[in-house]
Amino acid sequence: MVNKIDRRLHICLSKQSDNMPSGRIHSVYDRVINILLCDGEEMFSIASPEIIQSPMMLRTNEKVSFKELDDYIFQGMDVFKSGDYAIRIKNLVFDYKNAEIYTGKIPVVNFNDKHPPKSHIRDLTQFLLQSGKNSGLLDAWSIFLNKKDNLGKDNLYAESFIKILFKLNDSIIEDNKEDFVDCIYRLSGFGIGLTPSGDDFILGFLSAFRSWGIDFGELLQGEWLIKLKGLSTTVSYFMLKNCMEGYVNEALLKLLECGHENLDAKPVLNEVIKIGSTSGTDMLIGVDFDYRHISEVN
Amino acid sequence: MVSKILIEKDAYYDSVTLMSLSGEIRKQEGVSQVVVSMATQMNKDLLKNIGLLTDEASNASENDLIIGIEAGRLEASCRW
Repeated sequence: MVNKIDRRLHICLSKQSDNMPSGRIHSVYDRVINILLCDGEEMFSIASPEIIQSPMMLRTNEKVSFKELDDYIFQGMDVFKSGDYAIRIKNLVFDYKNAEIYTGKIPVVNFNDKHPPKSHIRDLTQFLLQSGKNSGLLDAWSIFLNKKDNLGKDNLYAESFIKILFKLNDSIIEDNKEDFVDCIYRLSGFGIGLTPSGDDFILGFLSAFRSWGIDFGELLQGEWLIKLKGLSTTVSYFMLKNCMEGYVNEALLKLLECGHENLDAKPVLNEVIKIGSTSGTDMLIGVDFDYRHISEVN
Repeated sequence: MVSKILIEKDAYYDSVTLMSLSGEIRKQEGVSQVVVSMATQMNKDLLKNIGLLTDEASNASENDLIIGIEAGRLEASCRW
């Protein structure tokens, strides 16, 4: 049984025909499987309940280990629509008829009317420096903030990340669109992880700016997203495609709402940081980067 | 110094696994550099900068996993 389903996925599946293949299994992890729709234009996932709800995801109501179903569920298998409100993989049926709907739309306020509270920025930075996970962008971010003097020897990416962060910072201050776009390209697909650190940063960065009414979609002209298919992993591409369409995971969404409503963000920060290995940390750095800029403007 | 590059096609490991693998390799005696990452263009550029990019790695796709190791002795890099 399915406990929660993304609204757009619900709509998408409603257009699929009964007993016809809807898509094919792209990748199998312990708690998540990813499925590419037949036209290759969308990816959706089935996840165990402990995974943070994300765009185009349906979550089961009981814990599942897909790796334990290794002989049963594997890459390349067809996934079928079954009846009006279920999908089927072999004989395994995921019924979403009574599932809660997740909208996942980034809330937007205008930064001229409101701005991120200083206390929120302070808490976010402090949390990152104390609890952030290394190996992604954290070393570079600590140096950017003057909280650290030199790099850890194990992080090969950090030196490049520092240069990009400073250039991105300057490009926003100087309104240099060419440099800005260049930085986004240089971050795309860069770093460790299945969703590389640079992409996770972009997710936090674009969604936080968007939530304060600043949409970089026009600046990136859609061209970036098309090129991203060849610049990053398939999973990462779909994550950022959803973001560009205005949809992000539930933990990040709650964090953005905390910024708007001046609510205590600490419990939510703990949720975000649990995403992936360093993904949550890198997303938070993207948000922190934005909030500092928006706060400066105000 | 010797180096070795391993490519795994369409490797869909979660980040926690990749990080743990990277840490395990780094702990081995004689290993000086380790890159465990997806073969995206920017990651391949990084491999090139540190002298670990091979033809095979150049041809890897963004959904392939690259494990690049530089070690003081051949045995250290060959254990993997």
